[in-house]
Amino acid sequence: MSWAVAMFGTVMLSILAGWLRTIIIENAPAICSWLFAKAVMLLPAEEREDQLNEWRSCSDACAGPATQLLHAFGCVLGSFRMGIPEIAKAFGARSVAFSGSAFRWIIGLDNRDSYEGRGRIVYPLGALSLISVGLCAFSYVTVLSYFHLSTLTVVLATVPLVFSTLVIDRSLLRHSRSGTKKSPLRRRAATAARVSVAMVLGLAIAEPIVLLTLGGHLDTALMSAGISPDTAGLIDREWALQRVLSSNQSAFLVVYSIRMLIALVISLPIMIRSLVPDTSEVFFDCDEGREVA
Amino acid sequence: MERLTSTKKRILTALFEVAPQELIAVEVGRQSHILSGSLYPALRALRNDGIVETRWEYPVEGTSESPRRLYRLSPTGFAIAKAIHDGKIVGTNWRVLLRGDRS
Repeated sequence: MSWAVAMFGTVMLSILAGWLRTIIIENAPAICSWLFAKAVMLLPAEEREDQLNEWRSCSDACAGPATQLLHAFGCVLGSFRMGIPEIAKAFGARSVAFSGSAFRWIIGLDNRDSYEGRGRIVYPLGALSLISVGLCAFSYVTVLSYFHLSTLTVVLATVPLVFSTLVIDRSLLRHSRSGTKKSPLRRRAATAARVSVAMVLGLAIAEPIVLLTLGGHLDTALMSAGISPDTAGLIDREWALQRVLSSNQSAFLVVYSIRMLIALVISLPIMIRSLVPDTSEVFFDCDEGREVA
Repeated sequence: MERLTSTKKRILTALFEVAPQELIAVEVGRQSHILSGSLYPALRALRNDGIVETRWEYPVEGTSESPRRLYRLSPTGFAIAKAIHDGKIVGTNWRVLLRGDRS
């Protein structure tokens, strides 16, 4: 029966995916135009018309709707890279950087008072900040919810966790920026700090997956110790996990593979960015309006 | 711009290889294997630094095509690209290297 449901679900998903693909491909020119129109608004006013013409002519030169869409999404990303430092400068920012760990832009604001009703500036930045904070909070809530904590406890734990993450990110940004200006050693140190934070986050994310993967073994270990799996808390499960790991070599390998894999996946972008010059962190000095690293 | 990233090097190499022919941005991307997300910011930086020059090619009246921006190397850009091609630039600070060459 479950196989039938899975097959039916797969067929339905395939149909849905095909349907969505057709809609997207058929409307590719309109989607591209819409993306260009939105992306160009991130650029300084005097560059918009030229950039829009360039993107359109390049889009015409792309072969097929899929390539055009890929090009259009690239243009959006490019406009972020070109426009965000300008926007941040107008907003009174001292620096702006792309955070590899969180895959988001961080704006180093020193002077919020310089804002004088620039709605177009505030909305993109506000939306970006809200998305970042929302994703961060969602990640923590997902991890904490696994431990069957009460809603109040999850909320109370999430708020300081999100706050501390933002503080750490901001602090790392400051260190990274000064590090890139002063010495490669400081830059490496900042990268190491960011990798450490990412690995800790990776291990935290891996733990619920580990507990889920070895659920059956843990229940057996708990029952053999006279603890009901239904009432067992996190500490009981961690104790059962240690017991399973000490007696089962295969489980040991599986658990450490999962932990290392997820920690690596989370920290890999930062390591790549620090090792490959082309994809290293890009920082912009807003006072001078130029790339500094 | 003090830093000559490998993206910019690849763009300069692509333009050097086809010189004196001019290319539109997407063709530069194809030649240098750079996606548009990195291509346009790098081209803009090179343009602002005077390393590449551009001109607009307007379509025939009555067509719905957009004007095309064509890129070619400026004399400075050509010198840098030649230095990259000859293996004289291995670092990232091209200004210092060029000053060194002159002296």
